[in-house]
Amino acid sequence: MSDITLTSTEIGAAGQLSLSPEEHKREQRRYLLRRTATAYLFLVPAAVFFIAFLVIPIGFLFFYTFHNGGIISPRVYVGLDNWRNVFRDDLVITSIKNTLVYCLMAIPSVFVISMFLALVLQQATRGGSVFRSVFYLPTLTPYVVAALIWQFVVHRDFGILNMTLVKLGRDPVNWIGDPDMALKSITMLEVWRGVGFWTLLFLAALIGLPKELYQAAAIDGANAWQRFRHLTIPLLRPTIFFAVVMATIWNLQLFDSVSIMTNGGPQNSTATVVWYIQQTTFAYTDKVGFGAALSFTLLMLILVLALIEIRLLRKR
Amino acid sequence: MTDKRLSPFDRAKLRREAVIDYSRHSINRREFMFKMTAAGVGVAAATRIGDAIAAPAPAMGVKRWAKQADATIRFVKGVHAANDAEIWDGMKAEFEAAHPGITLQPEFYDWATMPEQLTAGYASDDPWDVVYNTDQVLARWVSEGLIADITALANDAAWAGEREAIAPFTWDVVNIGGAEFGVGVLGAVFNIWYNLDLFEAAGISEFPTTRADFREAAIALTGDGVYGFELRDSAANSAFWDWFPWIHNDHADILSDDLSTQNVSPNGAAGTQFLGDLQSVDKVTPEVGAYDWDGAAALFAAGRIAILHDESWRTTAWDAGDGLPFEYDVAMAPFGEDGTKQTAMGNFGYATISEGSENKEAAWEFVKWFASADVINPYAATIGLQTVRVDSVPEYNNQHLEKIQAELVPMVQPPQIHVNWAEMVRTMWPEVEKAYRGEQSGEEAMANAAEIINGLV
Repeated sequence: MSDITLTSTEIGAAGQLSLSPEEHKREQRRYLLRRTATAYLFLVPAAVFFIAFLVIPIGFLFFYTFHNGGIISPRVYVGLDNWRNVFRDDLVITSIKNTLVYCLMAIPSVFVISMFLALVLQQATRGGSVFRSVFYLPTLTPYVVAALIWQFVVHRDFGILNMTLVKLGRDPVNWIGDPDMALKSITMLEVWRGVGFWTLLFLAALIGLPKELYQAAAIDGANAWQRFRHLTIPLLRPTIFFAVVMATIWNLQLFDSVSIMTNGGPQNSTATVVWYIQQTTFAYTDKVGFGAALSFTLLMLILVLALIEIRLLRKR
Repeated sequence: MTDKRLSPFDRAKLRREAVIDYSRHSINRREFMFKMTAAGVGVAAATRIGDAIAAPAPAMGVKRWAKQADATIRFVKGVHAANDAEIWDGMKAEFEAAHPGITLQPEFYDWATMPEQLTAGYASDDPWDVVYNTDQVLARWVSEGLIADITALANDAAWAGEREAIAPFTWDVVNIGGAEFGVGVLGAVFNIWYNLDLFEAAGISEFPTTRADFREAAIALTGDGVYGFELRDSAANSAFWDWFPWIHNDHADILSDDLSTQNVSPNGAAGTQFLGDLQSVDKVTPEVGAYDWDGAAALFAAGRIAILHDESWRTTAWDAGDGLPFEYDVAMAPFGEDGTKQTAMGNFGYATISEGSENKEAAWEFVKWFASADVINPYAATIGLQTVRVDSVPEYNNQHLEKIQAELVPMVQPPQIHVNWAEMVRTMWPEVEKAYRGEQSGEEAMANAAEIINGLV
């Protein structure tokens, strides 16, 4: 094969371009290199942040799991002691159990309420934007403010919940002072804060669903529940899939409201994994490595649960 | 035939023209991003260069313990009053007027998260110069090498008179491993407040000094929307302070005298059981966990709690303005089971200099000033706390604080000094909470607590 003659539409009538195979290969390599280099160049800022604020800290954290001290005292190598202690510590078991119970209460609750509100908002012909803003407001509220607001909701004497119960002839409930109620109260606060976000997410997905399917189903005699069960839910599967995975990841990291409202009490009934990590890392002596090992345990727990969810939801 | 490759000049020209295509009313995003990135990098680089040129020369390193001129002292302490920051604005002005060249920068930490905040502060490259450390955490910071050894300064002959005016026991507390690490300044007494009007209405003339009488009084005072007794019950509200006198009076404590093992079991069982019975059997208190610290104090102020375990500084707020609508007085927890011991709980605060401070000499000037009678006494009187000086007492405008200073301070049994003391108390507390709720006996609670404590000894 001799010269290759290329016709360039850009060059048009100006002429033809002749390249030897070697030149062509060289040009091709150069083009690919340039293209790849450009892509990496654009990835550099994100990669720098990813490495600096995620990969390196995680590496350091893993390194710390084999040491004691390191924040205010000299670091001492302790081998696998911290890992052994993580699985021997009763409060670790309690905090993992509390965190999982909280997730099992909070995630389904917030999704059911959010889906209901999204369906209602979808039907709203007037004032929908006002309600969307109202529902989203708690999500925008800072945690400290939200917790303070919630103190007025659950207060023994003048909280709105107990006042309502008393009006209904029931005894007031010790919402955050009773070990059986405290985690439920935290769950209520978190559901209240999260419902606006998930409502808007579901609403956005619902608005995007094809109307023709619903019209056809209605003509075929499907009632509202059947349309929801057999059309909406399957069509929303990608959104629900995203929501379940993200909600699991976020909720397993419950900390702020616990720290502000109960500080893990009463009787460790609201002790969560992240709360205990914070306690061991900053409140107790020489437990930085233990906190790091516990952090890794949480990371693995999140990964395992997320993978299980991905598997289960994909299978369907 | 034309060469496909364009000259750099032509490419640049094409790019320039391509950023915004006015004929199509569109923007070439790739070129736009390229140019914006280049502009951003350029501006950032120029700013850094500008900063480097404009920045002052780095300060000279200060030799340790050398006299420091024009130093800034960062001092951190827990909040002792709602207007503490305002009070310290005035104290800062006084200190700076008396010490030209030293600037004082007062800061505050939150008591509930004190260990966490101080850990973060000490871990920084620029720790506070002076830290108000309580006896709960002092040993821990010393063991970490975070607090400067001030033995030489505290034993300076020129300061000997002042040293003698500070209670000897405080020097024992700050003496760790033969060196001294702080100067005692303030103390807080955890006492009982009781409503005299409710006592009179119930026909009780004297505050009970035995547990049997105390129980009888609490039962008699309960009813008609009034709770006979209340004490803090959660670790978040530092409930252990209210529990301590009840076990101290039975010769129990967290640790044995030589700090080698636990001392809550079995000695602490009776006091814990007594408090649990008051709450879960006699029901003379609000339900456990129903009210937080401030909530219970508010109920007392409203006349709905007859006997309240709390802290001395409450009275300054209660006596402000028109005061409470009833007469009240101060007392201690009754004697223990054997009737031989009655104490008040109290803890003390020490002014310490950080090992990482670059202004130790100036910091010592501040510590001396803060601990002096002319400064600490008026400050203690203002915030409703006690001092540790033996040569003088604060001039309180409050009869309750005068009584506390005169009668309770000498009876104070302070916390023990151990590196893990705070962690011991925090981690064992759920066991006491269970006893308060009647979920286990005082004996079981103390046995479980003992195991936790021994694990941390």
